[in-house]
Amino acid sequence: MTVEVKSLTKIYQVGSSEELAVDSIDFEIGANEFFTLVGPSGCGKSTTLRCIAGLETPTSGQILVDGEDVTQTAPNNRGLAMMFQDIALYPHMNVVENIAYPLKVRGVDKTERQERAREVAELMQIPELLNKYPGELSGGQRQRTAIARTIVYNPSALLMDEPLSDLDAQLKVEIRKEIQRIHERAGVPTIYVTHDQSEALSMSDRIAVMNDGHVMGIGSPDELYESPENTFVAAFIGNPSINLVPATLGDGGGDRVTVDLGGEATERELTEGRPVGTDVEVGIRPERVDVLPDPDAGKLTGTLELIERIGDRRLATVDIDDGEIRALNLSTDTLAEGSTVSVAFDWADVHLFDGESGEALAHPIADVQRNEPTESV
Amino acid sequence: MSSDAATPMEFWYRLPYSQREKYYNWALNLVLSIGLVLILFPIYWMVATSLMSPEGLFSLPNPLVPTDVTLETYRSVLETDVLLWYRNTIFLAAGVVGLTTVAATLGGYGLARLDIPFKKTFARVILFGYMFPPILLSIPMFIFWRQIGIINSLPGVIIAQTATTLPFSLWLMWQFFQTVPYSYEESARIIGCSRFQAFYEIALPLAKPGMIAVAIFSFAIAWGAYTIPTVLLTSNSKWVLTLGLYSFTQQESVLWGQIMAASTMLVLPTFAFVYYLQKYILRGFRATRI
Repeated sequence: MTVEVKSLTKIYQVGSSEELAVDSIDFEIGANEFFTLVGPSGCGKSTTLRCIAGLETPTSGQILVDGEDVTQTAPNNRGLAMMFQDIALYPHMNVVENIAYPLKVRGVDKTERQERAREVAELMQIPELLNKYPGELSGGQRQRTAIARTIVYNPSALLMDEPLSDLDAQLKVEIRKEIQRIHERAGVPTIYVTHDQSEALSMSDRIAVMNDGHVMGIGSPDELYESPENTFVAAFIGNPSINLVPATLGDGGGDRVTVDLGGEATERELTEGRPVGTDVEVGIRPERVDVLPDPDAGKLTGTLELIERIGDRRLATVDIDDGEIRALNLSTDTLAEGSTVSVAFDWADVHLFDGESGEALAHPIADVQRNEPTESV
Repeated sequence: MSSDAATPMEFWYRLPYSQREKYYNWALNLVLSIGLVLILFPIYWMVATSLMSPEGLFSLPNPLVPTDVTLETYRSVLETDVLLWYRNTIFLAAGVVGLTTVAATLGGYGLARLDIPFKKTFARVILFGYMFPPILLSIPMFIFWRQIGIINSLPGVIIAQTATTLPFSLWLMWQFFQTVPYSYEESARIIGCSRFQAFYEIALPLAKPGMIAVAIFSFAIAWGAYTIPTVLLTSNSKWVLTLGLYSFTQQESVLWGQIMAASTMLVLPTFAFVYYLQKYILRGFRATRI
């Protein structure tokens, strides 16, 4: 089974003004693919999912499920399943009634639907909760019940609208695994909406990053992380987010340009040439940046503002002339906050983006292509 | 200056917290008891008076607890058409409660869920309709009801009385449905329910406490209705209890014993009704929150 979204547009009428929530987006979700829509709040990801579910009517465009146009089909006839942010277990029904409810709607007789509800409850490891009411369950148990309810009737696709956002961190990880297990087992496409990029990176086969009703980038987690299409994707994927520093291009002769960054310069090959003097942005992941106590040792000089611990690593924030640099790859233990330091990175690790459009011009040089070891300082 | 110069507030705050808490609770209970006495004493007085003999009624000083308990007044009340009026009252109340609850639930759902132009304005204007006193409505209703031929009939009164209970009930249900998360119905739609099924099987059970509040409200209005029935009902075989009650006030005398006996009979079913629904209210409240 596949799900296809073709030039989907959704305009909301707010009073007398129109609000463009989703602007002509396209994507295709393959059979058995875990597809995630990620983006900041208000980017249109939930609206897109609700259009696929049939809860919103698209202003224009098409939704195809398994090649069949369902744009004008009522939600109850699309054969999909959806998990909501607030779980939406019916409070007046107990767990087994909740799980069996889709079967009841489909006219399955009582003994059979009880049996099938029991089976999926077993699968979700909640067989002892069958006679409890949703109000008596913990957050994780509710999630498991809700997952059980979505898979009991073999839907043609699973839709999930931020189902984990109300859970604590530990439970999130647990239910995440549960969702992936269910996705594997059901063998149908899953469309998952989240604002949390780390959730998207860890779960998905493919991710679409959305902003302002547009798809900014689409690809596998590795593709989005290693070679983002533009500054938005680069900044959204990865935490702490990528450092972007303005620079200008100089002439390097032929296909080559030089990048001038705070007095330092490097050469890069650009297939689509850019005129000399073009403003660009240099992007470098904090994971590839070191901070050195010697102000002259690195490429950029600045004041060390802050050192904070993030998990097993320390994050340093350095104020430079053109903004700030976050660094995670710290090699020195004796950095003092407030002192003048320098920032070190490898030119081969930088991304280049167009200064105006934000489009990517070049990505880090893969390790195999780095013919000569560039000095890291 | 030492402690004897303390103001009452200072003295109060010098007490240990646990003691203050205790006094505070006593004070609250005292206020509650005063309120209860104010509410319950007239009811007690009504029952006590209905059990007195006609002679004892006017003796001075009147005893607080009747000494010569007799059911004579009840006997003489039962000699009138009171049972017929009883039946009429139950019929009227059932009709108003049924009609109001159904109409308010459907209307409230529609206002809360459907995209109707100017629905907010509409919902507020409804409440405006509640502000007309029954006496103002009953005269035009009388003329109108006579023209369409439903004067002096209980169904006619049911419709007229529902007009007074519906505005507030509709507004209440509109508010109530807004507290029921829409995602319940949305999830039901995706699961495979039709729109009506999602309303009937999901939204309706969750709106039960609101429906019961509406039922109690409209019952209270219909059971004690006087103005509209008195204008619209002309023959005394159609009377409701409130009108019958008034018939004990005769030209030269007021039959206080009978009035109190009939009033007692009027009041008892309301206790039963509210007592019966009370457990559903509580159950309903437990059900709405997960």
